Amino acid sequence: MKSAFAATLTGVLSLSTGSGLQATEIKLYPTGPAQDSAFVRFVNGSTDDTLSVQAADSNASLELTTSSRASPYMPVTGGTSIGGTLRLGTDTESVQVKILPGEFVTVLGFDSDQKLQIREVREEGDRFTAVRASVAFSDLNEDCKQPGVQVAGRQVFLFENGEVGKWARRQINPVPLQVQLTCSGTPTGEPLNMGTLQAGERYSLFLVPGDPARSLFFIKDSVAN
Amino acid sequence: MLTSALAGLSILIVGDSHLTVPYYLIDSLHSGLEEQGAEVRTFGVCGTNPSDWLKPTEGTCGAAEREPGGKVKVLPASTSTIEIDQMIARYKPNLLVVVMGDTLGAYKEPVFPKTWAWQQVTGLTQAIAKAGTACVWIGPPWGTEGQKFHKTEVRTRQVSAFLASNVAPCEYIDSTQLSKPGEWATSDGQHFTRSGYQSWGKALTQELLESPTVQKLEKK
Repeated sequence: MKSAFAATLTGVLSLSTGSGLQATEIKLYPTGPAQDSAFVRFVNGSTDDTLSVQAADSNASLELTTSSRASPYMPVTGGTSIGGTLRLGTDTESVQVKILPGEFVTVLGFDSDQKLQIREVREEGDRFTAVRASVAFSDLNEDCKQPGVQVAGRQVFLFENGEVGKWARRQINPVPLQVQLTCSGTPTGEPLNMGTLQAGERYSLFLVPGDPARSLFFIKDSVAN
Repeated sequence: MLTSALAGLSILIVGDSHLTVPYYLIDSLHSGLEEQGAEVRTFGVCGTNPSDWLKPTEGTCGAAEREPGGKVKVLPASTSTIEIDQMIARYKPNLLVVVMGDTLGAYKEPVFPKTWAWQQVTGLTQAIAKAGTACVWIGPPWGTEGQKFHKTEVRTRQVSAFLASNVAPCEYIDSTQLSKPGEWATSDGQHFTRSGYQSWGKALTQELLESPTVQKLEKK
């Protein structure tokens, strides 16, 4: 049934009463889901090759290049597992991931010793904000000791003492941002320009395995409709 | 002669069950704003989440609407929402007022589903931002502990805090600041009695009169 707001468009009038004598008891309705939303995405952590993702139970596939590294976060039912095959160069690996309610899971494929390696980064949805930007840092690189991320050109750390396999997220003012990776306190590689951060947007910095000077990149997170 | 900041503004109010019964906010808030000289349209569909205003979605528990200067029209429970961008394009309001919060509370669940809530709220605020319409989001008021909807003070506080930091670019009006817990009587723990809605509507009208968003519109 369309409302009279729609009816002004369609010419169909809806029920009308202004008496105030209607039943005042509102029928019980759900005020939210039984479990939280959950998301999964795939990210190409390779510096050279395209990462292909093939779903196990359908023809759905993704091609993630080194310039367009990430799929959007895709909504899934929390608690379910998804499976598929990742291909990087000539190497393939199957993957099976269970995503829990409230989780944002990143499945990252990269090359290490010319072999496809897969890592999962599991982030519990938190610290949402529409008034600041939100930046996460995931450390997956064992060669960079005590990794840190500084504001380039300043001695201001956004993240300090990262740990391999761990991530951290913080809120940042929506300003232009260039970051500098540090390993053991020493600037490593070139500054990374993240552009002008936007309020309400979420960003992910990944330090993937390999030469630390070439292994830091960022993604502006997005969610598939 | 003093003029109300709301005088001459075209205001569109959309939202959930708090707008769907003739003595709810569709009476007190709508009338309060009209008394300040605004042209007000109100459309509520009970039980709707923010994302339900991105594509037509049938309600399940009631709906109502009220055109400028008109009386409340109660609509069938199966009335559909209308996409927010279509409503904005048609009515070109100076100000959009969203009344939504209780449908995000997941009051029966032990944990507040903030990832889902973020997805819901962000979808609607992005659509509003794209339309470039000034907006104010009215969050949930205190209810009565427990009862039919299992609404609690703790969760209400949590939902309100979440909305306060996630509805931008809409301005947030924190309804929990407008009364003390339990001050306004409810009929079912979540919806007020007639006097409760009168008090809430009156307080919200005052909040909108003093709203920075409205003050900014007045200067244009």
